[in-house]
Amino acid sequence: MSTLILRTMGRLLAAVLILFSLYMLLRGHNDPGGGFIGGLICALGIVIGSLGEGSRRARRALRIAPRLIAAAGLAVALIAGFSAALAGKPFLTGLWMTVGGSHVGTPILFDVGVYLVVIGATLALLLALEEDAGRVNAGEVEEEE
Amino acid sequence: MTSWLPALPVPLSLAIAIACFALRTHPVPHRMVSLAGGAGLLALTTLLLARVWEGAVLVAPLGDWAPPLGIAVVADPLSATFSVTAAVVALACIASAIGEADRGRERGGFHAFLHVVMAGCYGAFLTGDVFNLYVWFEVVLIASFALLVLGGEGRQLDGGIKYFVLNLIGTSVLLVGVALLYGLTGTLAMADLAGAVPVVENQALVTAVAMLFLFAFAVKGGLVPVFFWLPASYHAPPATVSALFAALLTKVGLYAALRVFTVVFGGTDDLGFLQTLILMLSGATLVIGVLGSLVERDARRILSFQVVGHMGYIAMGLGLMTPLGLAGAVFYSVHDMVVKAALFLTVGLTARLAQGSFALASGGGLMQARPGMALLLFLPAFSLAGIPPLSGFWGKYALVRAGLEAEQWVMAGVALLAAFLTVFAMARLWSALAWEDPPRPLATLTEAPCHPGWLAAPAVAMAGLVVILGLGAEPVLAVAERAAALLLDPEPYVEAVMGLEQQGGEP
Repeated sequence: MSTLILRTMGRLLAAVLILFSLYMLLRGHNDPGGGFIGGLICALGIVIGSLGEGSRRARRALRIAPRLIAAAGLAVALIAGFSAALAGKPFLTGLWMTVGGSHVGTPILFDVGVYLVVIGATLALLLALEEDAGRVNAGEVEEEE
Repeated sequence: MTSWLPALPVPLSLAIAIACFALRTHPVPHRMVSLAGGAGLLALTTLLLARVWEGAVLVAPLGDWAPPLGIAVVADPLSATFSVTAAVVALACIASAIGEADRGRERGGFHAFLHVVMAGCYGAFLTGDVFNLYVWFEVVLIASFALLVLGGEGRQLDGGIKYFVLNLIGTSVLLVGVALLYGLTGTLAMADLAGAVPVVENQALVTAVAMLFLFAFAVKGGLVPVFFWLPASYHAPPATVSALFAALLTKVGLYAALRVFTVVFGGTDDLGFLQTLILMLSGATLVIGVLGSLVERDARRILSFQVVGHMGYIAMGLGLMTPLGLAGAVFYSVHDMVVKAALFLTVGLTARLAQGSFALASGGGLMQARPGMALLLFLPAFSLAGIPPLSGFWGKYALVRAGLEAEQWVMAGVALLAAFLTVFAMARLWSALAWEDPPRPLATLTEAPCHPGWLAAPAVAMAGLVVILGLGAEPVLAVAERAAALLLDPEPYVEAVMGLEQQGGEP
């Protein structure tokens, strides 16, 4: 799979898609978008990059194991949900403050959590699949009857 | 009445899952966090049940958005009863997993996935929104798939793929049904649908949507003719996982059916048709499930078919849709969760004595060598068969009586026949594992790396619970009756959910 075209374009596409995923994440505040779709786009970008560069480099570039990213994202989302308790409001209620003329609140934190959960879970699955497929192609794994 | 309490079980289960995942390379704290988390969830759900015991309805509007705009988490006697029973089973399975002491699976995140399955179960039991119900179905599906294939044995992958694909078809159909229902009524909150569904002009389309829901819940609940994923997968994973799945997964599907076909579709024109259909499915499930268990030669496969067959009793109570029938279905669900967990955990113990084999032919000799374990198997097996005074008797008694009162003579007869055949199947299981001479001398529990005390304690506790549920059935039947009353007349449920003032987070 590692051709020059895929390597060059994969790197470019990965950068563009990751940037676009951040845009989608923040856009979800008032418009269609949000953590879920943003996370999917980001994971897609990383996977396209890894098709050219190999999943080992993709894992190294991530620095953190995908499953750990998912767990951390879940923790962030839960913190966002429980912070409503500090204000005596029901679970997941948004708490808001104004920073430099724009509203910032816990729903953004929640969305970031979802973003990380989706990236982590999707990458854990797709990178594992990619590595399995690579081993089958390289003849390391016997095809099951 | 609004409260934080119903919203807590799901996020706390997820938090425990994260802690378990973070600690997965440290065996002792990892297991203790998991066990303490399971115990904490049991305490929490018990508190929840105590608060709704008299028939109250507790509502937690997520994000302070009241339905129909927002999603409400709703605890009533039905959802709280299911949650508490699920928490009991989960705690037993956590203890049993500690006993199995499988370091490889623990490092793979066994306890974390178990708690995510539990989060999905609590979510499905407590949600007041049909789309949210679909989401929890998916959470349960993905996490349970991970539990099923964790360890990666070929047999597990084979069972796991069948399980995943067939269940995915079920949940996809559910999603289509939810979308159509939203198109018809413009709302997804169950309490709002209770009023919106009867006034839809095109009642034929409502019936069609109800059929989609019925298909999805039948797949999830393992009803005939869409139960094939269940016996194909439950014999594959370790005994603890089988016990957890057998106790919980099918009950999530039937809980959803109990809730949706009464509260949401209770006011449709074609309710009689739906009831007849559910009764036919339940009759077929009872007969085919129990007959299937008679031809199997592996203890876990026998019990898997018993899981299928006995879902028929719960569906029968739903199909009758009388106060006694629904109360019987709720009681039977509680009994079934406990007894199936007890059976699978005990069979896991006897298999350890038979060099890890679940085959009937390789078991035996418990009566002479380990009479205590023979009794441990006897109690849940014959409770399942409905021998008084064990718990299965009261559930079957209530359901058969409800069938006779509703003049469903055939249905009542089928229920009795299935009970009789279950006696036969359980006698066969018990005599093969306890009475007959074993082909090889029995092993001891300590031979493999495991903690026998942690393995035996949950099986003993579950068997004890079977006896307690049988001798002290009165309070459980009482709360089941209150749950049934709220299903048949959901007015208090609707008022509690729809009466909330719209707050909403600003801006």
